[in-house]
Amino acid sequence: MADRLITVKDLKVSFMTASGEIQAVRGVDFHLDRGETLAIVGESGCGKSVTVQTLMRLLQEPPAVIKSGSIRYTNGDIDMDIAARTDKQMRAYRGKEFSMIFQDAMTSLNPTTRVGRQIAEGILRHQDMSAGEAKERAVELLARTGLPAPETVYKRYPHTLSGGQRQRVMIAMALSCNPAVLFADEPTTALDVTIQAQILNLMNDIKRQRNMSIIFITHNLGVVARMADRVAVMYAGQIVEAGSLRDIFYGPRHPYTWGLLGSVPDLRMNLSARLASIPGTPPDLFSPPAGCPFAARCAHCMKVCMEVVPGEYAVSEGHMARCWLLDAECETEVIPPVGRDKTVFKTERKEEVHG
Amino acid sequence: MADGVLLDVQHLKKYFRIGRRQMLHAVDDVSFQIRAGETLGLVGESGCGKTTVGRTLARLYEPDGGRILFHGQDIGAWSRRDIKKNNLSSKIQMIFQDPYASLNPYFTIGEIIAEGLELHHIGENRAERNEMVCELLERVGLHREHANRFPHEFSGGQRQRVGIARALALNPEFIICDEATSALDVSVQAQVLNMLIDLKESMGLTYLVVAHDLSLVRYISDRVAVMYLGQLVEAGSVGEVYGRPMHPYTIGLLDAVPIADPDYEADHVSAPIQGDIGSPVNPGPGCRFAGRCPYADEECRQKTPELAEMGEDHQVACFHPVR
Repeated sequence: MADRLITVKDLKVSFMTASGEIQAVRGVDFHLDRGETLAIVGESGCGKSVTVQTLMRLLQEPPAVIKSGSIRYTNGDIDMDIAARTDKQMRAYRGKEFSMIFQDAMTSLNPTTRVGRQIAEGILRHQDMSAGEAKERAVELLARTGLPAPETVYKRYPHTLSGGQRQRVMIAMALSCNPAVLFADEPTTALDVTIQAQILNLMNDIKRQRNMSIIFITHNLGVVARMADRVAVMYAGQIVEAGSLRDIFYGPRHPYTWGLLGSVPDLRMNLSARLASIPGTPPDLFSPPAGCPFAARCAHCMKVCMEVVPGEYAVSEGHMARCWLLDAECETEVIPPVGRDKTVFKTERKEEVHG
Repeated sequence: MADGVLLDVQHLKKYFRIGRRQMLHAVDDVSFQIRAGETLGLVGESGCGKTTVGRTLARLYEPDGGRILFHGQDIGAWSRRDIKKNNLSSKIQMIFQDPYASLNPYFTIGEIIAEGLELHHIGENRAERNEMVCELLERVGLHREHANRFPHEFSGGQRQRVGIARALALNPEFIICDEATSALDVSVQAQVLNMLIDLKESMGLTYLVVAHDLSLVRYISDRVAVMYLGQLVEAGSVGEVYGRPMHPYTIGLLDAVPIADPDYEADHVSAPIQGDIGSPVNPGPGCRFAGRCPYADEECRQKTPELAEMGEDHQVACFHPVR
């Protein structure tokens, strides 16, 4: 059996604001095994960042509240429910068991401290090392991330580095205590594509060498295809579909996943193809809809979709979708827009010429 | 001048002074043409000067050299008074990236869209202008009731539609879209892109689409120009540039884009361009890409390559184009 590190069950997180309760995460279940990359994809406000920040207990509580659910973390001697830990208890694990890299490396680094010291800080906190040894280790980590002249970079301030260099420093910092799990929240979104490609390659190399697990948050489906082993698609605070990389790209079963895959332009789509767009906008999480959150935008919406939230339907081993279309009693037959041969189903729309 | 050319940009230069001695060469000798009714995509990484080109064409910046021929007239040389007299702002309009910052929060949507109509004395009276505003709102997929609301009441996608309605209000011929959809979520981005394409067809518009997303530019454009540090490195029809890229930078750029196809990605070994994009401040001689280019030799470091015709509607600025 796979070495399971994280098991999340029925996690619900809300923000208590002056104007009411925002139900950001509305009951998600997922797991993470050692050495795999799980990508969580979704649009802004779908709850993907809140989910991951809850796993590290980084949210300000209050206003954030874990309404229900458990986050079981098991690694060697450690077996704990993260959801039940206090902030103080969590400090011993952050950086050491799991660490995080953010989208905006500039605001995540301390602008008044040399980057080398910021890396050494974490090492000194969690490992029994002298200051000199910690410095050596920090330089070694900087070199490992492909930064030229790491001794010089060690002494520099964040503002003197470029965006790609700063993200490398963030990665060096995240790896400093050999964490078992790395959370990456849109780590390449602010970078140019050539720099993004460098950083993605670096992350994959490191993951392979250390048998590390990664939870990768992104809205970029190309990045998902390059990085992930498994994918969870989030919409309005719920995971609407989850499965292996191939399940999600070659056999998606949820209409939102179809819409997502169909609405992104791709370098290989036919030049005369037209993008499918999903009409409307995501629901308001102050008062989420009673039924399926995607019902209002769904082309296949039925009466039941507006009234009852669909449960998880197993499509195949490890592949599930929350959609009433998969119910045994559902009479509407919807053929998923799956593509010719192996191609992504979007390219199927080649015949639909615009203009 | 070739037939049907709406905009002919020749040797455009725009420098910014930073500090006492330093000069940032944001746009350095850029030439291209846009035919009436076509969409030209201008792509490049951050800091390459693509936004500066767009803003200079709209005369939001003063060009420092070169000519901008619009209908054969050099609008780059026009004074503020000439611009006003010839109603240039009603012919060239711009859609901005940030739908949050580009709409005045104190104005209603109706006022934002009607402002240009009033300034250009379009419409007999307020009632007539209101009707025009309502028609514009419906044209971009909003409702006429939205005219009385304020920008903060709208989502990002809706605000971008307001920005488009404002750009369309004066019946322009040429619209510059500067990263018009990059702040939007993917499903909303597709809605706005498709709307821009439909509006272009129905209103006979010409676009310059400035963007960093290569897939998006490929989707919306007829022709494309690739910029690197203030200069064009490759230009031509979308089929040519994406299908047979010849400049090492274009090749590296296209190779770096992740494709939403797991099997393709599993087989694809990405060999990204190494190093960071250089600095456009006081650039030395030679090709700007030479420092990162695997094929660079002495010639590349000494001389600046010019755009040369390499095929049908395909120009490349490189001493060692990859064929």
